[in-house]
Amino acid sequence: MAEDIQKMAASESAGAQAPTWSKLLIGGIASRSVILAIGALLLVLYFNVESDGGFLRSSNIALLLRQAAVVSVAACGVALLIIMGEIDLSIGSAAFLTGLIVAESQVRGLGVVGSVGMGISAGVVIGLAQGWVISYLAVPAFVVTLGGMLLWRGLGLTWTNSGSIGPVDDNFVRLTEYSLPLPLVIALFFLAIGLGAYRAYSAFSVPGRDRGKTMRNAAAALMGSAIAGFLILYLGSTATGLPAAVLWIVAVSGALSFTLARVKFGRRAFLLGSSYEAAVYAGINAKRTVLTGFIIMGAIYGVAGVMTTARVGVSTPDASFGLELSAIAAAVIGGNSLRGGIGSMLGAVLGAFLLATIDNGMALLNVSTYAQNVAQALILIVAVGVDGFLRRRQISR
Amino acid sequence: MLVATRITKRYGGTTVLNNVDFTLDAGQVHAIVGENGAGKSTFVKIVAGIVPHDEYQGSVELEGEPLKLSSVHAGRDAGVVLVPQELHVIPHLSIAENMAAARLPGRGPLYDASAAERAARQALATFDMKIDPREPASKLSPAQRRLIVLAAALHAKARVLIMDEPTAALTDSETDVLLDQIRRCTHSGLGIIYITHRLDELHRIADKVTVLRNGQLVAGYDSVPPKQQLVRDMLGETFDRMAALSHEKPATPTGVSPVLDVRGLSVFAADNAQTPQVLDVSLKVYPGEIVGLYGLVGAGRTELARALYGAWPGKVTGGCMIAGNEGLPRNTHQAAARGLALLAEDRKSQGVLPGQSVRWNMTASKLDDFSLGGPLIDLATEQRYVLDKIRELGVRPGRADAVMDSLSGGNQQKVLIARCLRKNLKVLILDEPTLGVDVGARRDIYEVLRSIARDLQVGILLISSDVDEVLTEADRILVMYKRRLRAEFPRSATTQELLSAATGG
Repeated sequence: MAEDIQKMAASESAGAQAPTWSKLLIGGIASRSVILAIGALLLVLYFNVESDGGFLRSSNIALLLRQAAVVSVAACGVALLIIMGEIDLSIGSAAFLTGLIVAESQVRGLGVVGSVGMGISAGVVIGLAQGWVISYLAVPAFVVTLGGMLLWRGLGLTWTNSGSIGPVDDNFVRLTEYSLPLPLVIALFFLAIGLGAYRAYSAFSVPGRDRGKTMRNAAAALMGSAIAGFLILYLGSTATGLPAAVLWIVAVSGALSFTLARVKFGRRAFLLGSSYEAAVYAGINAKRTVLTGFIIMGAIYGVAGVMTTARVGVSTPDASFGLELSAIAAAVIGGNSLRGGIGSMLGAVLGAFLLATIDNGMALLNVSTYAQNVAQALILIVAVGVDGFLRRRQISR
Repeated sequence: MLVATRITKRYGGTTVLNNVDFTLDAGQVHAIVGENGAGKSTFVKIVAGIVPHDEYQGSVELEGEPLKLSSVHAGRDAGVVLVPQELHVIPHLSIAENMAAARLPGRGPLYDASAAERAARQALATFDMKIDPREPASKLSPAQRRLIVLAAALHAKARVLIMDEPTAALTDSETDVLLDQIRRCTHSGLGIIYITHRLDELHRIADKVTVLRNGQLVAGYDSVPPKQQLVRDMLGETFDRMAALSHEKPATPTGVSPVLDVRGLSVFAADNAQTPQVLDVSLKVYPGEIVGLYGLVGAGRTELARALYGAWPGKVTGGCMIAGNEGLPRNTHQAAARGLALLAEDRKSQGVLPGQSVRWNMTASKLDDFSLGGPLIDLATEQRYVLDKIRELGVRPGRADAVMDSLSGGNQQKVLIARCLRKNLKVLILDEPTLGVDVGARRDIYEVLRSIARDLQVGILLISSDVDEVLTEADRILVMYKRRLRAEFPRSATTQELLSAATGG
């Protein structure tokens, strides 16, 4: 028996020292981002074959990027709130109102910078109002933003008598529809590669982590950045070009990722999300943190409004309708747990791209929009279900 | 009756149970003792079905039949009932509903409220409790909440009852009642697995004792051995080092002003500004001293601590000065900014940030100490601090990225104490810091507290219902009884003096 124990101990320590490739592979499969990537890849292949290569045509990918951009940006904002344990149902209506204000500013002759400033300021005011009621009057975010969903669109429609406002200036349209010049494309390429390399490096520099996890993280970072870099270069060098909408995604998700990782507010957002009560007992100013989160979300309403108005060229009464649901779905598919305390911006953006891929691919195959909704619903539920299953497995092992 | 053979359980790479054999006879109380992290809780989780049968090695048999449980419910159906250390009592449901929660009576989908009430009444009667089961559970004290859960379990026709630290939150008289009840239950042939840190209880309750250390079975006794023997088994080679630890104590400081000066503080219930929870309490804590605040459960100690920390939802009156700042903190971040920290009594909901790493848990209060200018966090300094503290306090496992939930109670408590150590810390209030913490971690915690007081010149208010703890660790002892401060003792006081003051004598 003593021998058995020794043998067991020996095999165990050997296993801990040198993770076998099969273990690495299984561990890798068991991570959400890899599943998402594999799922997305299969979908892309399927759509491409079925559409006789139409899906991967550069013009279609550029279209997909534009389609995914607003949802990506909104998903980043809502991911931040979900991490804090809050929720926002007013995104679509608030983005409609800011987009309307942007269009109105354009019509009245404000410049591009002035119009963007107006949109973002309006968004911040909306976020501040909602955040103040939620944090200082202690009304649940679900209720306040449900009210906001009716209120902001209602205000806008009353103002315009449900008409369209526009058109906006051509220069304004260029904010999202413009093709990036080659130097900017190359800069983005190096940014993607650099970020991947940095993440791979920092995965190794964490002391006392188990090696399998380190190698998986590093490999995922390198592969992800390589794919992103390739896409950037490929698309940027074609005649269609890389749409400027990509810059907005990079800017918003990058700023928020940095905030979550390095800024005290970001850390407090995670802590509040994992237990509000314990965070308060740790001396965290919960109300101010929640208010800050909604103000940031407010700025994102502004950005989303600007992007929508620039893309369509006018403010329409049904602009951004249902954006909140797509954004929440994207964030949740991307691993932002509605229980709070867990999540990332990268996940939210990937989730938004997966949804946009389905939308775009099915439209290409002439599937009705109703069936598209069914597909999106299934993806949402399967993604969250698989994730929950894997997480339980990991905890119990 | 219950035989567990060669139980082995691993979490990831760590083996938490290694070939443990265990036998429970009908009508007996078999106690399991060991330090936190020794594997006691894991073992009973396996027996009760919380760890499903396909996730450990070894076998469990109940009366000759192999017991392959896939869930707690399967365990209950087989007659194995676990009463966990930390209870889940739902405050706004009635006592009867809470007691019936595991198996609601009724026909089909309909819930039979009167049957639940009858059952609750019977269960409470066998326990000599005079409470109306229709009252909401929020009316119960924490101690009473444990009693109703035990009563419900005893009533549920269990064959094997597992109790994880049932007396940790109980006062002495409640403990007496509970131990008597447990003994009485064994007459009907019930087998009881009993986990405790209170070794003094063993000779009153246990027939057999098994000692676990680091997942190994180190000793089994057919009768209760002397306490010294058990402590030696539990601690292994570290025992000698600890026995040699001397108890140096600094003299009470003189000629300095207090860091905490409370004058005539009264605390009122959140839902009723007429009901006082604390009445007219005045006390002073000087830098570098540990002041013990002793009192039985319900004396108003926790309410006092929460009021001082700005975490009390109701009305608070009276004067308070913290490190030269006059006035009561209005909220917790104001209290923290003034140099006050509180280690809350309810570790699970007011301490641990679930799902987050040890690092994030440890620095949750300290982010301002790792400032890289403006709002940025200095991650490198943070990581160094966390690794230093892990080493210094002996936190196991010694990894900064380990998930907090996976740590044992004692190790979680060490992390939470490190969280309190902000650079501006002047006053530290600890509410039952060693509740449910094993002997070894307790020693570590006391050592840390002493060094915080001595080296950082922090004033410590140590709230405890453990007489031995306040007598050995505090420089001065205050006693609360029924919401008021009743007496003050030097550290040379006797157990009898403290107990009589705390019980109104």
